[in-house]
Amino acid sequence: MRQFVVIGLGRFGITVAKILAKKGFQVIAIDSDEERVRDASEFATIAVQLDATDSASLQKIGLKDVDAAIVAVGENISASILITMICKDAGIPTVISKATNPLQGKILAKIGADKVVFPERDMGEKLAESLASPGIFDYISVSKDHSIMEISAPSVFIGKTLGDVDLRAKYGVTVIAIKHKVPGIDEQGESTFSQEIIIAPTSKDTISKGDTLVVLGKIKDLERLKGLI
Amino acid sequence: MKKKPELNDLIEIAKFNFLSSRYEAAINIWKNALKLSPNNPQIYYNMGIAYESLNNLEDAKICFQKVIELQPENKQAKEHLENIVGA
Repeated sequence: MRQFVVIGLGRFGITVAKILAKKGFQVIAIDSDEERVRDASEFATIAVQLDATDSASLQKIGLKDVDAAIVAVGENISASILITMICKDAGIPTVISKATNPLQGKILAKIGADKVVFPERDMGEKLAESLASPGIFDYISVSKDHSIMEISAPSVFIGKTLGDVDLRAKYGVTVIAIKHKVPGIDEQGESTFSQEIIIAPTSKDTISKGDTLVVLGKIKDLERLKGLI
Repeated sequence: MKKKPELNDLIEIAKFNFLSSRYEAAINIWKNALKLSPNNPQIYYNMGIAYESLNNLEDAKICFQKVIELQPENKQAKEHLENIVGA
């Protein structure tokens, strides 16, 4: 069974630890704060209070079987760098470190972090995109030039098939999924809906009112599509 | 003489329209039902679901907030509101 160590149990770290534990993985949760460790002990396999910048203390808890470490102490830059180095030196195969700014990210990458994540930046990007265009529900950056966007189906598409709207030819983007709501009545006799997701829809699939289109494309092409929302 | 629609009739017709994916029609009927029974949490809840089905999250939010105001213990309305607001 895969084993993870999460160092730093602030908002980001505790969320990662909780979800990994919920998915059935073994999680070692570490923080220097007693209260955070106590909270984590409710779901983590082991929750330990220690100063992770102390290499000897960290080694004592035994990291040799850990598959991946998540260093979630981004705000304390020197601590995040030191802990990342300790984890790499301990031989943990994958070390993922949180950064709060690009310079910190570059340093973490240089000293051996296998992946650097910027949760605040990523969330800020998503929020700005959805504020700029209210019809955008989610926005995922895939590469420097490509993104995935979840958009409310524009009214001009309703009742048409994907073949009719031909987004690939007209905008150079691909609809990779359609989230479709199916109306129903619940046990109490009130209105409800279930969500049906059509993955890799074909040209024959119809776009209905209330559908969400998951669209992949170059950022500049998605920008053109936004004009329809 | 034309009989005025009863509240229960309007509710059933609105639900029928909703089930047939005629969301705007359902919403209009819910609005008429509200004229007969203002501050009715059931009407606001169903209207919220119809708005949410249309991806009109702003109006859906207003409806679910009204349900919670009228019926603070309504779990389903709280869940839908959390879904929309994100917390």
